[in-house]
Amino acid sequence: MKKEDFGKLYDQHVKKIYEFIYFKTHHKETAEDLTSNTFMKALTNIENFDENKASFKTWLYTIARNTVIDHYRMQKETVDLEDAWGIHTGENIERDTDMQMKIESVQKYMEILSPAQREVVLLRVWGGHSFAEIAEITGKTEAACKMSFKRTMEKLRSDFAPLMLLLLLIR
Amino acid sequence: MKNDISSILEDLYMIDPSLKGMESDLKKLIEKLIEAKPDVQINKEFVKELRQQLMAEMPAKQTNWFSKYIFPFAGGVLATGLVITLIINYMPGGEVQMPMQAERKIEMEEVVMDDAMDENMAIRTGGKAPTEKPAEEPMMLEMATFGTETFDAEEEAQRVFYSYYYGGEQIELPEGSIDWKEISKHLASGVSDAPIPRNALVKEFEVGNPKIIVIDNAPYLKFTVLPNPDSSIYPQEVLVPLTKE
Repeated sequence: MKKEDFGKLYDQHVKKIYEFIYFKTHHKETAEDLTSNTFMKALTNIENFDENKASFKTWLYTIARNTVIDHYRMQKETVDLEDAWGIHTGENIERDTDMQMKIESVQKYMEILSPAQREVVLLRVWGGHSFAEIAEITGKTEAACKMSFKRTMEKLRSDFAPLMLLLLLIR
Repeated sequence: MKNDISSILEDLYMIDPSLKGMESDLKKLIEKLIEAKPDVQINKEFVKELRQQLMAEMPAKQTNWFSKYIFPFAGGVLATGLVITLIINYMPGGEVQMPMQAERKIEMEEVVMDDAMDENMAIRTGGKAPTEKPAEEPMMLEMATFGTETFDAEEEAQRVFYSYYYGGEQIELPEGSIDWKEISKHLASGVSDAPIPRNALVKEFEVGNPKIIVIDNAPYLKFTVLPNPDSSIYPQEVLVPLTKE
């Protein structure tokens, strides 16, 4: 791949990748570090990228996702942790102060979801990805992703009233 | 946002049409989830710096890509060359390749008794000692090769076997630098007169085309050092003195 081609792809995806990582880390510096790692890994492994298997976009998200998982697994070796949502509010975690209130209030509801369910919500509702893309990023089938999303929405709906109240409070 | 909500609802109804009955609740839920999305602002300076860093890394990564393929390719070429050399040497009618090892005995067939041979050697063979020695010229005459000659009955009856071994010091091999193109070329020709740069350590090698030659009445094993793919030496002829058992 030519230098300018990789540069174009970087320009095209860097913001969304950073955003995706930020949704999972809640911390600006950590998100920047992991975004750097993601693009460095992409550059190093660019010859392994097969456009017949996935789009560059979903390949990049897959790298970003694994980079975040590695980051939390290194920090919390004994806990099955894949993102900052899995860390309880009382625990010592670096979070941006301006986002802290908002994230912590939503977190009460995100916490009750499994990491996989959270991921589908983040990717579909916040990231705007199609289920086909979510399937490529997470390595699951499209049907499994859809079913997971459906169950997540049903679960959140059952807690809808208190969630509404909290979301109104944090607005 | 309306479009986002509609498309998410459509997705849900496609998964489970019965969810349409909960549209009102689901709509509010999705709306609130979208509103709760953090407003992420990426630092433009960070984006710029990372881009510069990636572009600076790019040539190095491309070199790595080049190295990744060129060395296995060159190794493959060399390995093929070595295999071909070995096959030719081991084929019936070809020369027998002797691995060079200290203390290893070498069975040598006497094919031609040359005037230049040592008199004692001639006596041990039961052959005729040379009547005259050409004292005036330096003696470096090829004496025998292994198993390549055709003998008639009389010669066959006169064949005597000698045992020789190498009892000298450990052989210092020349050091060389990697030049795959040159090595491939010399491998193809089998022999090299190329100068050997001395800036790398040779650890392993193969020998090819062994012959016994006599220099000043003393027998030597002459062979060609062939480099392994991962060593760094040109093919080179080497002489080691042999001692009669």
